[in-house]
Amino acid sequence: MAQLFSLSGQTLVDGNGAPYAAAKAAFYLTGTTTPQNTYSDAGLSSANTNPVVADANGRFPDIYLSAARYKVVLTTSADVAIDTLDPVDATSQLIAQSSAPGTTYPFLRYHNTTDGNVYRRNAANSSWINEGPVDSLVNAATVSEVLTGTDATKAVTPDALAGLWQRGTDIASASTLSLPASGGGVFNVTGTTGVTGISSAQGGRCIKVRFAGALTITHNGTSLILPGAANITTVAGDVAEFVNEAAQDASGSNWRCFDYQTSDNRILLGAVKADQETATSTSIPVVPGVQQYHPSAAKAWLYSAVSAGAPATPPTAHYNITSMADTGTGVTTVTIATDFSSADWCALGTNQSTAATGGHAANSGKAAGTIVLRNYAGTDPGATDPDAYNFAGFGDQ
Amino acid sequence: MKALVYTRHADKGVSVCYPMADLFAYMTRGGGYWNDRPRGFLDELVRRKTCPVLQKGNPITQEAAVKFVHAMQFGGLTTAEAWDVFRLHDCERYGFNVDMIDTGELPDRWFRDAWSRSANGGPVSVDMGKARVIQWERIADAVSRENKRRELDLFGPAPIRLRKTTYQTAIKHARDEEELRRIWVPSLPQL
Repeated sequence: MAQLFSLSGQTLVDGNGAPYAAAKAAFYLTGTTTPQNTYSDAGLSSANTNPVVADANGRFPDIYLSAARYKVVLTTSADVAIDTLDPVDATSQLIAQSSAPGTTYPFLRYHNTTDGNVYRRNAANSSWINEGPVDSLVNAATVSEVLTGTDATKAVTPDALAGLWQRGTDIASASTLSLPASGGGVFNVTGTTGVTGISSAQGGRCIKVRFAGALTITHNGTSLILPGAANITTVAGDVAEFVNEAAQDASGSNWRCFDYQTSDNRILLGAVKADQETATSTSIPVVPGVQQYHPSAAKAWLYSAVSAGAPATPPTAHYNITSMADTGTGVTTVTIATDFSSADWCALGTNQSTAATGGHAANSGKAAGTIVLRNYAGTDPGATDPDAYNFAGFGDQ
Repeated sequence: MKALVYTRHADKGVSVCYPMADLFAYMTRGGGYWNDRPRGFLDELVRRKTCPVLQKGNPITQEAAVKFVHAMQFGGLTTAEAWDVFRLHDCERYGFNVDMIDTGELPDRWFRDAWSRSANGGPVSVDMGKARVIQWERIADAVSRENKRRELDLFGPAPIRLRKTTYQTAIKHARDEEELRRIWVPSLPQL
């Protein structure tokens, strides 16, 4: 706001009280003869003549001053000196600039647009006094500054603070997940592109992400540490939490997943086929889909009731069997879907028979993917049809 | 019930293959039989199925192995195509002239080991030459077991004395399997 000169609207009179008709007020920069503009409006848009001339009654019009220190020379209409006022300080106007004015005087105020503070010159014109921010929002820390977390002078607004925790804009899956500059603590990751890293952030930053699709997160021992050092294939709805282990007050991409919740209750670090085949771990849980790889588990088995040599209802129960073939009296050929890795696997058979038809089982022609089962009646070398074939195979697949 | 019948390479005997119903579901729907297996397992499975050493001289062809693993893993087949996969995978390693039959068309099982087919496949019939031998073996076996039982029975009947020539003649002149089967020792229950 511009400052109204003190003689505005006032009548300048002599010692007898007679007005100085058409008196003049000339404005200069303090201590100089450099003319300075004055204005007829508070917006400092309409300049007065210089000197400003009073009316016939010696009354001066509105004279608005921009921020500066002036010298005012008052004269009669005949240019006879009346008085010289120096300095005349115009301190009300709040000028705005990016750094302190070069010319200063007591009580000069300016708004520093760089840091948002208003400064006032002290009475001795020897230093600046920081009057604080021109308003709280201008000087508040940005979201980026909040996330960086190193500025020791700025205040934080609730909105900027929310950059730490609120839901951010969705992140498109990419090799490096790009955290948005607008901040956020919870994100939805869209797409199915594999992820090998997360963009740089300040050490200690925590984020939660929810995966909207199936993608692979690839473990990296430095930049993306996953539980068990194993890659994760996400399922839509999975949620993970990451913390950036970059150094204090420094940025980096050293993310560690410290929590992962699956949306379908699957076990993230369950035993895989190799774990089951090794069969030594005492800590890895086993899910039904891999339990059959353990050496102690049957890799193929069959129970099939037989009626007139054929499976009554093919088959009554089985696992990993593609077919059974009636090959002859008391002989059936069983074909296995997932072949054993060698022909040297263990086949056990205990056929189910009445006394008349015996119950001895034997195999002949065992191969990696087939086995021929025979049923013998007692000590009779001739094969007879059993009531049911029972067979189980153990070995490596 | 439908099944696949084929003539065995080894002895020209007849086998009847009954595919597992649940495997049809894999082949005709979405597959996924080996979803839990590591990458490359299908190739390994093809190798195993086609390896003569692992299959003890009865490997299947590369085509059959590939079709089978693809059908089981990827599904999408029609039922007819699935039957064909079973033909390639389960039957042709052991035999030829594979045909689909209704098991009601099969002969009586009494002479199961005499089942035969023509050189071109077709329906299953009974080889009367083999059947006559089978019938005599069954009679002899039944008498032998009955006599063992009678020998141990102190107060039971005397052992049966089998007049071989009588049976030989009857068996030799039987005109079909029904007539052949009716030739039996009167004092023994018909099996």
